[in-house]
Amino acid sequence: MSDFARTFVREPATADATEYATRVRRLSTIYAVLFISSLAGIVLLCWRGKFFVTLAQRSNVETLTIAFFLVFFAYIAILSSRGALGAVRLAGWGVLAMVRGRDAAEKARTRAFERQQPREGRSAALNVVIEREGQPFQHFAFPIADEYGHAGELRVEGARIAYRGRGGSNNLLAYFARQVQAAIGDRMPGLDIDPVHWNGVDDESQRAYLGTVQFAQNLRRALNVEELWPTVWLTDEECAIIGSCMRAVTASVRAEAFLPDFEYSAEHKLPIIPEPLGIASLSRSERRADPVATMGLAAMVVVASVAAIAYIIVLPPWVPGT
Amino acid sequence: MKLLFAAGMVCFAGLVVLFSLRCSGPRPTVASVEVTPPETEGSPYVVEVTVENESRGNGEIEVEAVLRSASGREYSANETAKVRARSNVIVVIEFSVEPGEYTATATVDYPPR
Repeated sequence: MSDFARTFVREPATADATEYATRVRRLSTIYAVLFISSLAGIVLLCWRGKFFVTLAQRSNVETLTIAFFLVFFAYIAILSSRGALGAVRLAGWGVLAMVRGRDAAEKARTRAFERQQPREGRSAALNVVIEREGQPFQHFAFPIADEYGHAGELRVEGARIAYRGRGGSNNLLAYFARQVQAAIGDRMPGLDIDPVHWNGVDDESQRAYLGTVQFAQNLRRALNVEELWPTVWLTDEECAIIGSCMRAVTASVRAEAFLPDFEYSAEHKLPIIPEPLGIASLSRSERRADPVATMGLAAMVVVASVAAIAYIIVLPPWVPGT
Repeated sequence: MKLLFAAGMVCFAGLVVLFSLRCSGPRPTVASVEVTPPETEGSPYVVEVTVENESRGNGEIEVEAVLRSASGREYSANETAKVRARSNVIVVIEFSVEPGEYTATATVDYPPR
């Protein structure tokens, strides 16, 4: 279950750059589907409004349900509009790549990326401190750049990792943690490098946690010992591997900058005895849910709702006569 | 996991088909509208609306007929009727109006308002 949550909810598509690019494409598709299907839902409800009001009143369903769906679709349409616009732009560059080649499309996308406003920095706190071998307490950075330009950098500040640039998402930080894990391989068995607090989701916990890590680091400096908080020392070869992995996602980071980055935590509840009694229910929560999971689920709900509305229009259900 | 998902989808599709077959209502359309003038003085005009239902579902429908005189005056009346699966029903609506030339139109609604 933990692996499932990590792979599909918390940190999807972090194994390699190809997976990361697929995630960005999937996210842009999700935003487009969300926007189009929510508009379709509004159009269907308005077009057959009288029919649905009559059906609601004849079948003992609260008529306000229709208003709820209108507000729900409108909210989702507004929420996903920026993502849908980004998806259209990304699709445009995709078409340009097919017509004029990848080089021309990437140059055009880089120019547009450089006009983007810098985002609020994304950061995460890891369960370990990361340092370069022979450089204790030193912060360092991995540039995210390719032959078309610079797309930001990933800074490592002890247990804190942060992205600085115009794009990025918390998933980029998860991708970095996964690459560090892959780079050190079996050198530190039993060590699972994982982000444990996310900026934008639980900032206060992150600050409290990083304060404790800083305390440990200060104590380490004062005691002049090698390690207090669990620490990973990266060799030059490992840094080179991680650096190339970060460079490999440059195009995806650039593409991601055109999509909104909605960061949420998630909670799944299964009521054993439902409300209003609510004596027993099962729940599971994740500190962070990737937009692919949250918006993907929202897309599934919206598409299913629109399909149900269309189904009712085409095949109206039986209702009792007068 | 994939097998479980596929089995779930098949079950869901089966339920949708079952619901469509057993719980859907009618899909009525107006096939024809005829106006019959009164045979004796003082009797009403009779509008016969033939309603077609191509759906497998049955239920109550509401027919609204509009009688229009040559001078443009309009009279409307409605009637509910039950329609069975894949069948036609003739709904008769009477209008007590002054003698003259009349044309009629009709609409059908499901569910009745």
